[in-house]
Amino acid sequence: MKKRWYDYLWIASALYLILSFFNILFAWLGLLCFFIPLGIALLGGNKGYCNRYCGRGQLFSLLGGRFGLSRKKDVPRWMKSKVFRYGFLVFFFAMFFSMLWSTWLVFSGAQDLKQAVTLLWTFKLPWNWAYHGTILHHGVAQFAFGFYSVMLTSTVLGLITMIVFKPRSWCVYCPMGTMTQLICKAKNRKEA
Amino acid sequence: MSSERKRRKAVVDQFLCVACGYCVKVCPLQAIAVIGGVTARADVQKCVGCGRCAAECPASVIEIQEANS
Repeated sequence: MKKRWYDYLWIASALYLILSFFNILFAWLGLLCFFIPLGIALLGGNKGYCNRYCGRGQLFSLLGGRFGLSRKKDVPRWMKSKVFRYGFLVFFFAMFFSMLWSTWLVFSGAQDLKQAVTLLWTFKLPWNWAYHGTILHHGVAQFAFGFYSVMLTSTVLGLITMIVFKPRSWCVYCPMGTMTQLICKAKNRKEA
Repeated sequence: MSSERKRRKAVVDQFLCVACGYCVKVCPLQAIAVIGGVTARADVQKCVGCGRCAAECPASVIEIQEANS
């Protein structure tokens, strides 16, 4: 099938992870992966982002498919259950809001900037090469560290399930995918 | 075993489908679509039951079944 421009968005996803690794402020660009799918779901009532533009999904299918890094086994039943998918969405958002809270604490001056990336919500990795100060408030960097933690954690989880199960197993429990599907369900039920 | 040849079609478990749309990408005949961002559905007129979508579906919720038609 003919390749379209959006079939190469995996390059943008890879570039995002690499650039933010060296300069944490690039992590802010990750907000696009939140607002674009939500916008498409809310305005268009479809999952156009997952279906076409998700660079992360493309990256997983490339690594797991063409590069053969996946066992290509079925995901377990519980992983595709509504309980797990909605539970993971709630957990992910709880962690997201806790990250926003830490950002607020830095903005308000109650806490100092922590130059660390928290992997899998547990492991605090020192990350002191990616930020050297700007004219902006330290809170801007704190959000970037927190957001990069979210993006890196989801990438690591996605890579693990890519290796153990099918390349795009992440799509099964991706919180953005679950949320946009819920929005589409609500929206299309009303219109139907 | 019957010698009669039955048509094979992709059938999506619409309750478990996550509507990621990967089946749409891999289908060689554009015979499957995601309907309203909720679930994928195969077009029985176009589907030849090749099984590509069933093999690639991240959630493994597509089955190739023999159709009556």
